[in-house]
Amino acid sequence: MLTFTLRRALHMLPVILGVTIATFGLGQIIPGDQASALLGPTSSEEDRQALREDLGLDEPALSRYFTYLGNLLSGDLGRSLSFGRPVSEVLSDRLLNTLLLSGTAIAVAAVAGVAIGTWAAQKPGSARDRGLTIGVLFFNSVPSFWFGLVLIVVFSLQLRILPATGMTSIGGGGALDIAAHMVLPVITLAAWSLAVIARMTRSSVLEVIGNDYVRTARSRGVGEFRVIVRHVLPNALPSVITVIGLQAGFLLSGAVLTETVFSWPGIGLALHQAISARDIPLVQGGILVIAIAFVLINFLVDVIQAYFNPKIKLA
Amino acid sequence: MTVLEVEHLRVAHRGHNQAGTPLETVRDVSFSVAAGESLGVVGESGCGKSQTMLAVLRMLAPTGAEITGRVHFDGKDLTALTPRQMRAVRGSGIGLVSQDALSALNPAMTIGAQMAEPLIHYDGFSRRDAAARCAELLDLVGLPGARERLRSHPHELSGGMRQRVLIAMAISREPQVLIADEPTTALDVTIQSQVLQLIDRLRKDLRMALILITHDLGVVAGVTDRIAVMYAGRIVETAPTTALFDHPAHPYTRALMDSIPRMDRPRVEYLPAIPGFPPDPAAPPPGCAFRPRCPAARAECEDSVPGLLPLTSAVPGHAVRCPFTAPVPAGADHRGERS
Repeated sequence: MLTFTLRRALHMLPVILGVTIATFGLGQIIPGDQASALLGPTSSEEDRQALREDLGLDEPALSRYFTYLGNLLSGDLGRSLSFGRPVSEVLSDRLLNTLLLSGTAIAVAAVAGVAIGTWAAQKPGSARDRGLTIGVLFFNSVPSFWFGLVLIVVFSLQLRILPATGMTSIGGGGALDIAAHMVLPVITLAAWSLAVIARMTRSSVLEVIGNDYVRTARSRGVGEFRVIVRHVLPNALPSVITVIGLQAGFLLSGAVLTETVFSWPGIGLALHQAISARDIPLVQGGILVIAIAFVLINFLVDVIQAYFNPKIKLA
Repeated sequence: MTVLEVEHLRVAHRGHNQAGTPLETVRDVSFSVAAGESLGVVGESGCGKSQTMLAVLRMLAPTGAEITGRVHFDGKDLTALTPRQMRAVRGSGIGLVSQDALSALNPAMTIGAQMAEPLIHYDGFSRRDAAARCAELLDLVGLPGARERLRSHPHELSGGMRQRVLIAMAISREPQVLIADEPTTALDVTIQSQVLQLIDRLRKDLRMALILITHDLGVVAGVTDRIAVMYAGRIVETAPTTALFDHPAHPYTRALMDSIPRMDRPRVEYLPAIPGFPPDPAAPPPGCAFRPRCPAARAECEDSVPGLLPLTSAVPGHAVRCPFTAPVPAGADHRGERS
């Protein structure tokens, strides 16, 4: 298990290197001149040229990439043009907020999705099973920003029981206050993934529950709950875990929309603002952080799968 | 002493066709086994033998399967038990050895973990005692290196070894009745006979009643005391093993015997096969279900389903579901009748 984990960890290095090339290249192909974006349309050509030299924009792309890579290794993601602070500072402030939001959302989606999917699969064709199918269809068809707005209208504006935007109330900031602010964005973020995970769990559990070894366990007097938890789920979950991992990645990028709708001070909102302000270093940094998180999640998924399926370790 | 008695068992599945007619897979099956006795249940695929046993254990899919009849076991009617009471019977009262050794073990659990599970959680064993008991069981079924095997995963074992593990699991809670559902189909011929001998030895040593389900008459010949032959959901003939092999009475039983290759008979160019196919359970033919394939069929066979009646002038316990049969005298070659 340890060798597998280490070997799999090494596989991440080339992927992350590729990600840095992509984020750097992204900065190159985005149209528009950073210098004129910073100095405004009324600036003189001399001032702009001076700023380009100052920022190193006049050097060849390859040497700028290596400078960029070297800076990354020392933790320097560049300087945000719109915030006037290092990108790493801007992002690290907000990374925790994003992780709190999307981590909670994926946990809710995973636990509820697996539970609902398993529950439906125990009686295929029943009312609860058909209800699941309809729910999946609904939540996978509804755009998350629209769903978020509907939640705000219903729970914040009509019923007035939950706050609509931000992370804390003015003068507030306790755990309970933050939790109240999290409810609506978490539901918005989790709904789509929950539906996908529930559907995947249902089909995976249905496939496993008909296996001979499940019958073997039942024939030895093992109770239905234990049959599900010890025999069905460990064999059904690997494919579900792959989906959960993918959803976790999507949640991080989906956070851009949801954080914007709910004004949640996370990476997504920062990225949205950076794009509007043509703040290329911040865009690059934000994408890099999300991409690395994606790679890390996939690594975790593989390790968890190897734990559940001893045959993977041999491969 | 009879430990398991099945009376007029019927299994009907609903909602399998658009007409809504129930699909009957088991029709009026009755049999019993005594402690230490072994019963072979023989028939081709789809004749209802596995369905009968799953119905006895109440392990058919919950949706749509309708079971009627009585199943007496240990002074209880199993059909009247609550699901919880029924669970207590499975494994500790009636054990099951599944047919496909390759898929009947959980690939994600070690052998030891799945063997010990009911012992620890329902029989009050400590982990240490359960491990010792499992190693003892693996020794009993002749698996070498029992202690190490407990830590193996199923994919590390051969088919024969896995079948031995399954047998050890089935007897782990000391059931009074062991149902072995085609325990040798997935195995090589040489391993088959070893596994059959093992099951037979365990039955004698542990005084279990054994129900051996197979489509292969050769398998039951050496192992069972009595045989029930099933066709299209019904028992068509039942007799002590030697009587059945010496004087097969039902045309279906005779046809089955003819299709076994034999070393002690003159060589034939083609081994006789039974013409036609088993009937569709959703639309069984009227009267005797074997009539369309029967070489001795008469017009009356279509009128009603014949009863399972004792053969006069035969061994006690020999009954057959065909009124037009007479026991073939001992020594006569019934094969001559058909050529």
